[in-house]
Amino acid sequence: MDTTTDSGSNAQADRPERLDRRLLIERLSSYWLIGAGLFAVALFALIVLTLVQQSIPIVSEHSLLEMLTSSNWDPASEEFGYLPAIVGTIYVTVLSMAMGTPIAILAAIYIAEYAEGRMKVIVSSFIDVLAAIPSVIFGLVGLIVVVPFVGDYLAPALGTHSIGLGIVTVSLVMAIIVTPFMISLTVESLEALPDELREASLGVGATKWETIRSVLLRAAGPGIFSAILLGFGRVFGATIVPAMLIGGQTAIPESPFDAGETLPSLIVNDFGELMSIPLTQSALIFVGLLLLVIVWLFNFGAMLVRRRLQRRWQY
Amino acid sequence: MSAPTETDAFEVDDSSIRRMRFYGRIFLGACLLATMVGIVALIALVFDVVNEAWGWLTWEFLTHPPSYLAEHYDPANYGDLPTGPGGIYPALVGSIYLIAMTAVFTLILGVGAAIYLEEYAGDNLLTRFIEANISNLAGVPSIVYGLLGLALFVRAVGAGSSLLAGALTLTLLILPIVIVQTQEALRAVPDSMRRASYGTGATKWQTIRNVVLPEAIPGIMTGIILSLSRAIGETAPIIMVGAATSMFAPPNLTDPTGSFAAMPMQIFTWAKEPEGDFQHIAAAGIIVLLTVLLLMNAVAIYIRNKYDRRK
Repeated sequence: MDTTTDSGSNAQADRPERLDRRLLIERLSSYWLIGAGLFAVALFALIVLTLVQQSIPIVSEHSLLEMLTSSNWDPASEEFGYLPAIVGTIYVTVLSMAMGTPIAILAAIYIAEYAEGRMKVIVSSFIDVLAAIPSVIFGLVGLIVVVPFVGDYLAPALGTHSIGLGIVTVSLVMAIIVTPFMISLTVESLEALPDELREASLGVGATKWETIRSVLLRAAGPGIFSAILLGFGRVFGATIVPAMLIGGQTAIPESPFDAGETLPSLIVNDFGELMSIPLTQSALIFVGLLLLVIVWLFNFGAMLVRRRLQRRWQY
Repeated sequence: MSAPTETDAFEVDDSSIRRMRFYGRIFLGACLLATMVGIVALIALVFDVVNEAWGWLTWEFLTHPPSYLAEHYDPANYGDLPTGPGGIYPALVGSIYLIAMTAVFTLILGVGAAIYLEEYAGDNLLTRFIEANISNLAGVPSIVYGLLGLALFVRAVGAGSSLLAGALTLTLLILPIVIVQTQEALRAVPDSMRRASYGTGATKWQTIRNVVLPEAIPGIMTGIILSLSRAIGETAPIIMVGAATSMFAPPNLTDPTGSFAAMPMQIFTWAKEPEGDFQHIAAAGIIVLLTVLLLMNAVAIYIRNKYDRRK
């Protein structure tokens, strides 16, 4: 109070200038923040528009139905049939989810319901580290370990033949990659359940296993289902592991032990020298658009399911 | 059974309870087994990589450019090489530059967008639509961001297969995650602090800069570092943008439109070589990549723990 009256004449001269500067900074900072905010919104449109615009050449040259159902992929003679890659992608996704989902749910139940204290910390940090490992590393270890295992042991044991590279190899590795991701989502939805549920069930004399089976799994069901859908999206869009381990064959695989191609691995494997062939870039970017749409459908489904769960338990 | 008469009233058929207990134990066993799959996979993975890289990871490997010949990487041959040993140096430097530039872009765009959404935008339908879009973007496969980077930065903007195009692509890739995590950190700052700041006559920006950000910075930093550690290992987008498969000098930070090498790309290239010894070299590269990645994670965890304790 004293200081303002003491230096009254001085402050009056300063004030407009200081206020101006403050307001200028205020305006500049708001430009930056609004700009960044708008960019985040635009990013969504940017991705869709870019992919659509770059896909137009291929879609206008070839009929969509023909491309999706033709099994002939040969950019050099302008044949763009996606069917082998689509079949390969479905094979890989279904196989790795069939292996990964039970493991992920059981491990999540152990972490959320059984593990306690230090054990829980150790186990969850192992899972976190596994989730943080880049996929190129899984690819290399797959080459060194899983490829000989499939080629020399698994395929002969099942009475078939495999060069080691192929759909089964990719699926085994992808199952390990997608598991930690699904575990953490499932643990989250189990731990979000109110403790009253557990206490009520144990109180009427149910054993722990009965509580998990009949109460907790049912209550967390939508959350677990959304974790599985997100897992599907993950495997579907995985690129590097299929590119390294699937063998790069653009023919429809006859058995899971065959080499093949997935949609994302098609992009990586045919990128490069083939890009000079007209329409190839457009054909590969169209694959990207397909991936985007399908993964969004998975994510959207997961979001709807999760929202139902949230409304039910109010967390 | 010939139980004494006084306990008759309590005589129950406990075989169903015993059966449930037995199922419960089997179930716990199955859960433990499933958990072990992940743990064993991680241990096997690390063991295998270290085993492969043993003897190949040397100081020279860190400080020399790559070579086309596997013999050049073998420490036994270092003595009589006219060209010098082979290594990962340009890719290591390239990855660090790439992540540094990505960090700058992420701060400007990601943190800015989160501040806008949390502090400026009202809670209306549009904001919720934007937020739904952002969480949807987080699930987009990285290869799609690679295609976007190729079409947009490499071709349309004309940045070419450059450090700049790579960093911008990686920025787009982690932007959704950074925005969501920054928003969470901002949301954790109590509203009373903002009101107290406004009460003293501070402007919106002054409040954000002097009150909200200092409080939220540990959470924001943790989110950014963890996202960057994801970006440094991403291979697919880097391939699409066109990282060099073999670069003999580190990229030049003063010329961001020059070509660049990056560790994941280098490892991918080595792993594709048919010659067996390249697997050892790729494994040595992986140890370098993992070390950088784990260091970044450790910093993030340190920041989180340090500031958690204060509260």
